[in-house]
Amino acid sequence: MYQIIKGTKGSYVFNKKRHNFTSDNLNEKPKSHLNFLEKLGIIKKLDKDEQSSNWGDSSSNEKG
Amino acid sequence: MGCSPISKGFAFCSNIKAAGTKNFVYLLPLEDWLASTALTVDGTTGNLTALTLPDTKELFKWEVGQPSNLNVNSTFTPVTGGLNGYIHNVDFRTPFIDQTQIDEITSMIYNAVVAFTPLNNGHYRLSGGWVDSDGNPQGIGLRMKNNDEILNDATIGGLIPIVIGTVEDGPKEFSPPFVVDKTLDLAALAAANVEVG
Repeated sequence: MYQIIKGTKGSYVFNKKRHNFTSDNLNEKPKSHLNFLEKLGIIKKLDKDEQSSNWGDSSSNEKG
Repeated sequence: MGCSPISKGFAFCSNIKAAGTKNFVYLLPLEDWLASTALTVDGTTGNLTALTLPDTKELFKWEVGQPSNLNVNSTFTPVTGGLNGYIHNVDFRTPFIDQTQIDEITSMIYNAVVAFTPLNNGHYRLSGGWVDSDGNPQGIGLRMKNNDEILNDATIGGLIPIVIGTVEDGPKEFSPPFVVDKTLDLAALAAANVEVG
């Protein structure tokens, strides 16, 4: 799971093509794109605590 | 300090220095802005929050001399006739400079740039470029509009007033100058190009 460090949407150039991303669809991007953005310092990988917290929220929604 | 080439084969590496705070403007070739490797905006404030440039590309810091009642002044004017759009202007003065730096000003004839001017609240204003609703860099850039020299005035002699802006009789910008968030470290993007001492 990744999140944008600052901001909620943006764009990046990968393989000479510009792509858009948002906080909502970021984790649907290919792994190579995410690695690229992480290397640029645009996004960061959530630590395990943050991830489990998010997953908990998600599962509770599913039950509801 | 190295000079990075921009279009038409001209070097563009001015680093004119002067005393004072916020008396500077960062310039970036338009093509580098449009080719920015990645950028983000904040959905709440709309501010530009992050920017990375292609390898070897960087901002160019032009510092502004004192005294000057213009210093760095970013203005915009909506068009009332002809093509709809906004005209951006950035008006500043450099201190006395050498011929090599005048040569760089001369090279502005061939190049459009975007300009980041510092604001008192810590944010910057981006002129000549903006970010669309999808998060893509846009803009047509600023070009040299005025470069009148005041050579002999006792107070401001040697200062070089420079006005760069949207060309009035061409396409216009679809947005006023854009807000760049103070959390974006523009100085780091210019660090490789700033001469110290």
